[in-house]
Amino acid sequence: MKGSVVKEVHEQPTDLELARRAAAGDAAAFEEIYRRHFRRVYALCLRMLGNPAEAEDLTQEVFLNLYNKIGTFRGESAFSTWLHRLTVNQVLMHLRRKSTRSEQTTEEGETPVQIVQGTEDPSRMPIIDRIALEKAIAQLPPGYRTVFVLHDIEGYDHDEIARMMGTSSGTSKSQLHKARLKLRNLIRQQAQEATHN
Amino acid sequence: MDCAKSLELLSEYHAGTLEEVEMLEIRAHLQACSPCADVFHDMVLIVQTAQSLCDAVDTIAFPDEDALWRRLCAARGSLH
Ligand SMILES: [Zn+2]
Repeated sequence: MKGSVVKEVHEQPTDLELARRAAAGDAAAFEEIYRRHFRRVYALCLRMLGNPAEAEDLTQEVFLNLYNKIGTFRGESAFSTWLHRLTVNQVLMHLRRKSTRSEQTTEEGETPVQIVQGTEDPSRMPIIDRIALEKAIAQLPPGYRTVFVLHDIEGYDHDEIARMMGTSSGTSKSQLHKARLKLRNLIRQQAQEATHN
Repeated sequence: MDCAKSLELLSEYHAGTLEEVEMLEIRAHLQACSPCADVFHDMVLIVQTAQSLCDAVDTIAFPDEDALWRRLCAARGSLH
């Protein structure tokens, strides 16, 4: 926030201008890019990973990677779109590394999602607000979470997701469906816990 | 169309990607079966809420921007 008053007097450099300056070794330009995009990158990492400490590490990795790759940005797409894609790829790579490390101990495809149909409570489903949803997303198994975040929040289609994750679009579709049902259960659980406490 | 089948197809029904016959069958089922209709209603809400999260950062507790920048600089320095 500090300093923005001074900057507004002059015209703000575009992301492309900053990227070119950063690629040429201008450290201040790179810092400005970081400050402009840090929140968006962190938010995406956090939603995809469900864990603040991990999201912080990944945010750092993304910007380190960006620092090395910024010279390859040609401005064909918006910088934010390019950085978004870079972030998604980095997180997916991280998740892949993690899942090979932990072997198949947590294969979420194995556990069928139980659909809680009836309602004990006449007031039905608790309000699905953004905070409740964020909390529930963090509790999803990693595979479900990735697909849900990419499809329902970030707006990627199943073909793109399949390409990025190296799966089929059928897998992406079925994981998304299971993720939504699971989220519904998680939100209901949260609400029940809240009323019992 | 029974409950299990219709629940399995709700996301595709929501996306409108099913065959026309199945679309109609599920619609009829949802009109007659309130538990399934509840699930669908919630799913629609979840999808809408998720869409509203794109570009929204107000629900997120951010780490300290300056601290992370310093960490980044330290890590960058160690690379060179
Ligand atoms: Zn039913």
